[in-house]
Amino acid sequence: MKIYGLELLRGLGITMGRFIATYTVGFKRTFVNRNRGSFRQSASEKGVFTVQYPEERLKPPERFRVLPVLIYDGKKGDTRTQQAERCTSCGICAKVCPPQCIWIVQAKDAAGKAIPKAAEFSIDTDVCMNCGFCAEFCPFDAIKMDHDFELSNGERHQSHIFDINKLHVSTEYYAETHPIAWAEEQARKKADAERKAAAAAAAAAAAKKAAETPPQ
Amino acid sequence: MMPDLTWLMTVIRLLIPAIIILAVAPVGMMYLTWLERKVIARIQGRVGPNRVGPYGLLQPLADGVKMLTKEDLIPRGADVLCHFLAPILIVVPALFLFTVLPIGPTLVAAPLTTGLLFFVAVGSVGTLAIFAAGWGSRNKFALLGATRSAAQLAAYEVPLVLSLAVIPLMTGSLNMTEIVQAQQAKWFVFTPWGLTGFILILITGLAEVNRTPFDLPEAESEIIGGFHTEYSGMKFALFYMAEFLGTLALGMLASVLFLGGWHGPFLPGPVWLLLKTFSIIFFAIWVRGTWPRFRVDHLMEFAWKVLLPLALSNLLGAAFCALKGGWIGNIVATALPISVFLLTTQLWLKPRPRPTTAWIETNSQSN
Repeated sequence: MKIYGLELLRGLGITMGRFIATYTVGFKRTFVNRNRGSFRQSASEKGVFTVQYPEERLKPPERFRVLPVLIYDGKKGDTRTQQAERCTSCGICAKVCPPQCIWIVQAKDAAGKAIPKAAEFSIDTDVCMNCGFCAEFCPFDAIKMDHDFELSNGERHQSHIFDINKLHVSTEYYAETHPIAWAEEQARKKADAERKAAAAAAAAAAAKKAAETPPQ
Repeated sequence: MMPDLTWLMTVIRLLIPAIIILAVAPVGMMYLTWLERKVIARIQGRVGPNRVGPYGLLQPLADGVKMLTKEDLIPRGADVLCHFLAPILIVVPALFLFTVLPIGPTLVAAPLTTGLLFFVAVGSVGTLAIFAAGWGSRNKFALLGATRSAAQLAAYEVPLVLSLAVIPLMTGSLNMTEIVQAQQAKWFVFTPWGLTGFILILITGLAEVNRTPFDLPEAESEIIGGFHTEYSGMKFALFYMAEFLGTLALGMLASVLFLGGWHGPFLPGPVWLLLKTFSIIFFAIWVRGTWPRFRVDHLMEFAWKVLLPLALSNLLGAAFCALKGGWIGNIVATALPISVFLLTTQLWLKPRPRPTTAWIETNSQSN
């Protein structure tokens, strides 16, 4: 014998539980544990799932990539100088770029001699496909992928070609958006510097030894 | 000598309730749409409208502006008169329903001695308008929705009226005010026959106003919008309004007949009635957020095989209660509907073996 209607009542119970949970969980979110990082993302999460986008934002994952940026050493808001700039205008990024959207002009000094800096560096953002090859191949850690995805625009012929001033971001900004990659880069550079210092010390010691022992 | 102004007094006495109903009912309906969207959203883990005004409270006004500025389309080859009249014909009876519902001991627009009968009679006129809409639209989906609506009404009106019939049986009156006064000591929902009647009126009432799980006439996932497929702008809004007014009227009817109307401690009567009405409406929204829609044949089976015997047995139990009274009557009035429900569901709702279709036969032969 089967009693009809019980499952219907059970369904009503489930939805009422859901309904009440939105209020209890919402109360907790507002008053108890505020500012949780990746909230409303796990499968076991109860309550309202909606992220009210322009007011609330979820932090994108670190490997998320939108459009390359050029890195310079310094703080946010520093004016661009050729000393702080990491790019040497070697052109590897422009060569590996699959849709060929990078355009570089090398800087020249007063005498007209080429120097390893970029005078102009432009990316056509309509053509860029966010593959990240340029950042992958850059030998100087000068070009990296960004997180800023809010790029919509009313005009596309001028404003969608990003020039060097628009592409420049500081290492401080990069360290904030990409903490893991930034720490890895720092560790690698430190190891490189230590190895170089050790090699230089060894070379100096060898030279000293060579100088001390007179040639026979 | 003063002119005789009694006719003016009569007109004013009739006009004031009419104006109040015309003003309050559409506003109430607008905020019912807001409530429904909010509750459904919460059930589904969303936020619901929250952009227009605080908590989205001005959303109904924005919707109203949208509806008013939309283009009014009449399909080519449509029956123009039918198509035009249907939205009017559906709203007017829905507004009439409020005239007989007593909000307080003296607050009733038309204290008819046959109020309950009036309610049932006027409440079923809406289907005529739905059929006019379906016919006048010259659209197959609209006609399908209209015929579904007519079939549904024929099926569900019977148990609805039978479950309402216990009220005059016990109170000896069709006047709504007298029915509420009879519940001074004890609400009818706390009697065995009243509880069954209340459950029946909730279920059949949902069918009566075409709400989930009985929204087959306007099933948007099957027949696009049913009878209002071809309506746009304010005409569509009128259909929507009629549905929500029907829900509101039905909630009020159920609370007047079974939940003691304006009776309740501490708060004034009209507040109590509104609280009861809104808890019934909340139940309707809750059901919409939970249960899936019926299939057409299941809908008919449910009405004729389960609800009709249940309503009849409830009527019989109530009659026994009225005759005998006391604990014997209560036991009979409890046992009768329960046993009938168990019996009919076991006998007639058994899942039948699915007939093998021609497609399966040919498919299995080819394999």
